Amino acid sequence: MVSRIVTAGLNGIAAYPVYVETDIAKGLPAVTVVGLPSTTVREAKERIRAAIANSYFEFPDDRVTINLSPAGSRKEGSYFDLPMALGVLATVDTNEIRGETLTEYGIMGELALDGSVKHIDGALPLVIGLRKSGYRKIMLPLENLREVERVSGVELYPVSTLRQAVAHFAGTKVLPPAVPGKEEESEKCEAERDFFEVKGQEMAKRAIVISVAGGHGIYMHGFPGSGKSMLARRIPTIMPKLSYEEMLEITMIYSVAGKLSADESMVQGRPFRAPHHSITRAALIGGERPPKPGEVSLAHRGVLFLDELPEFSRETLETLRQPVEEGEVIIHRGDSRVTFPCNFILVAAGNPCRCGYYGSKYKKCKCSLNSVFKYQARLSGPLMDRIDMHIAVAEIRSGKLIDATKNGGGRGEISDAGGHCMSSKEMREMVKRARAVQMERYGTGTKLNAHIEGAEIEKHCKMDASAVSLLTQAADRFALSMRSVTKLIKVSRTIADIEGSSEITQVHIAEALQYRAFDRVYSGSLPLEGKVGTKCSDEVAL
Amino acid sequence: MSRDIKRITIDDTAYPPLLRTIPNPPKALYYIGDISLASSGTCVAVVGARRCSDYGRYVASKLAGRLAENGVTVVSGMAMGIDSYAHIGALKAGGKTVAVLGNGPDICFPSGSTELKARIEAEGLILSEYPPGTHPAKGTFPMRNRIISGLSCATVVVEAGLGSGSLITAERAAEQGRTVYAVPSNITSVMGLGCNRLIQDGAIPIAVIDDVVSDLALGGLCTKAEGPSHILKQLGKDEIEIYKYILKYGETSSENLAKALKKEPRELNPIITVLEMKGIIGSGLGKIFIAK
Repeated sequence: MVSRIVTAGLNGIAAYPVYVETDIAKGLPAVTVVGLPSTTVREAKERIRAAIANSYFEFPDDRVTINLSPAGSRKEGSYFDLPMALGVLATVDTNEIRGETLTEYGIMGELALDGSVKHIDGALPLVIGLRKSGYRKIMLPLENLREVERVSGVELYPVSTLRQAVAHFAGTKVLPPAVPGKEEESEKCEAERDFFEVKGQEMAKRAIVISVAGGHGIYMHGFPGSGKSMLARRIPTIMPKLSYEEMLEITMIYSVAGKLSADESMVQGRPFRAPHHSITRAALIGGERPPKPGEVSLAHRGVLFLDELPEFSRETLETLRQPVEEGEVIIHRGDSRVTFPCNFILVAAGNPCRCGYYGSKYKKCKCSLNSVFKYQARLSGPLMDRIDMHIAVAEIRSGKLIDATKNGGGRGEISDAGGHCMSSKEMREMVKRARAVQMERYGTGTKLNAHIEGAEIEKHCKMDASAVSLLTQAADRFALSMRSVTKLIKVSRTIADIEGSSEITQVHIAEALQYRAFDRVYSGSLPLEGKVGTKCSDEVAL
Repeated sequence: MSRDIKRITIDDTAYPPLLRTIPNPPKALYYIGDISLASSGTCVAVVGARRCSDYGRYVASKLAGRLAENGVTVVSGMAMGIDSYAHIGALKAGGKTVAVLGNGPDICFPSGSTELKARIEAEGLILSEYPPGTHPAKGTFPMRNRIISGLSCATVVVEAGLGSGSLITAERAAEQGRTVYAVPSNITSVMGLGCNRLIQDGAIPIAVIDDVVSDLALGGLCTKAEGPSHILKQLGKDEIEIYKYILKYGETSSENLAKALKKEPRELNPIITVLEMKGIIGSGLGKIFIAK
């Protein structure tokens, strides 16, 4: 007697249908699992034997063969337990499981030895994958219901024990499909932080608006305590609200990564990930077996914040290059290739030197000049080439801060007597405006100015004559590379979008140049000053 | 390979007028390039030792660059070390430079400087009192030093040890009644001992790089007037406001400027860029300062 049950396998965040075929034949009692099961799946036979027995069913005393088809792809994960157990039970006539109903369902769930059904990782991508393959009825652990309840076009049958599942298919106690809970109010959790709390950094805020509006990566250079992290943490508050599709996408990643707990529904807010600089390559871009999404993917549609950028190992930063450029990361694992999306805004921050105060007006730097050079040299690597904007965050004297608190400035605020202080709401409006223009231009909500290349740049970044002449002059004066010029044009495009201009003008180019701080360092200012001498000796050595 | 070598005698009108006034002017000069550079009236000699420190190297190219930016022709001897850096500094700044050789103008000495020589031929002037084919010999270099100082209204000795030939140039300059500047060195440095001695003997020490430029402007020798009032003429209203603020308060940041001048970042940033492009202010990772 053979039974056939539908479940799904995961490849990254994509799922494909997997058929659990169970055959019972005369022979010595044994259970064999075939079809490239991983260790977790192979161990399932012990779990299902116990779960079946403890649910007061009979485990057949025959030779049981379970095949996971397609047999050629590797099966990982614990959610094969429930379909395998049901497959075994369906082959025994006395259980009265009706095969024809069974095959309409996609089934997933991990079993405990007592027969209860446990939370699984990756439920959302599995459900979506099954829906894509035409399976509209899905049985899954009750603990995963919150995660997937907002998926449209499927009937969900949550179970918490194996007995419930069997009763449903035997027709003794048919479960009703789950009714989705109320949509949560996403407004509430948003905006706990606000840019209004960061005072005296209007220049940086303006740059951040441009960065978010056009999806440009940004590097903030400044002294410790000048507010770089404070600024970075508030970036998600000015990003547009997630669309349903984006939420699904993010939740799928979190689901596969096992970052969703039982009572968590879909991810509502923009992710903000700030990995420590000691992070390994695998944790950053993804890895392990089965491949799990790394920090870059967990930051998908949100912000990846790398504080103390020069402290990250060169190797780690190198691995970031491809994800930053492609918007997805491909992990190769011998027999398989897994792709995770990772479309994030890269926000990085760094100090001028190891102690942090090189060039400070108020504090003395304790580093040797050589170590300052070395520290800054780490920034000039290929990753910096791929960050569109670099700005210097102004140094703020602590005296001002104390003044402000005395005057009732509030918690840790820095006053700027009289000057306007932008709030998240104002900034969000600007971003919204610029994103609307871009959406119209590119016809999709996810493509931004930072992502265009080659011919698209020529097509969409029309400059007037004065802009072209300024750009040419600037390229000469600051010895800009072609890549720098391209980035400059893209950032100018975003500024023009914010200002509501269809053409890029001189003013936009001029402003954009301010956000290329490393290109523009005046040759008379240290530490680049030292390089003047070296350059000369090179020339003489010609 | 070399361009045409031309000859000029002391009776020609194109003969450098300042050179004509020295005690023993060369009767004839051989040259490649633009001879009018030598008579422009704003030549400054930047000389120094062949063996030099990084400091000397840096000062030479920086100083020559600043002079060149201000329309001054930099005169030197194309020797290794300070002389070469002076030429390079001037060329890099897009300015003019004159090399006075101690051998025929067709010969490149030191032989490693062919590239530099070619650039000076194209963009400046190679000058020599020796006819083509004359090889350098003992005595030819000290002789040409009188031409270097003779062409220039001032001579700057960047770095020189006690036995350096550039001290001879300084001596000649003094004899010819020209101003002598010396760049002070660390008093424990052998390489700069000659310079410090020069100061002791009455040469004008250079405290900041632009000293020579401003001295020349004040002395009226420099044809192009530089200084705040001159700069202000080139600027628009907003630019003047920013320029004056930085002039008054010194180094600042764009954040401070925005606050003090009550300007939004979107207005202020473009103006800062324009000022930077004009070379009036400089910026270094968050700091803004006067560059002129």
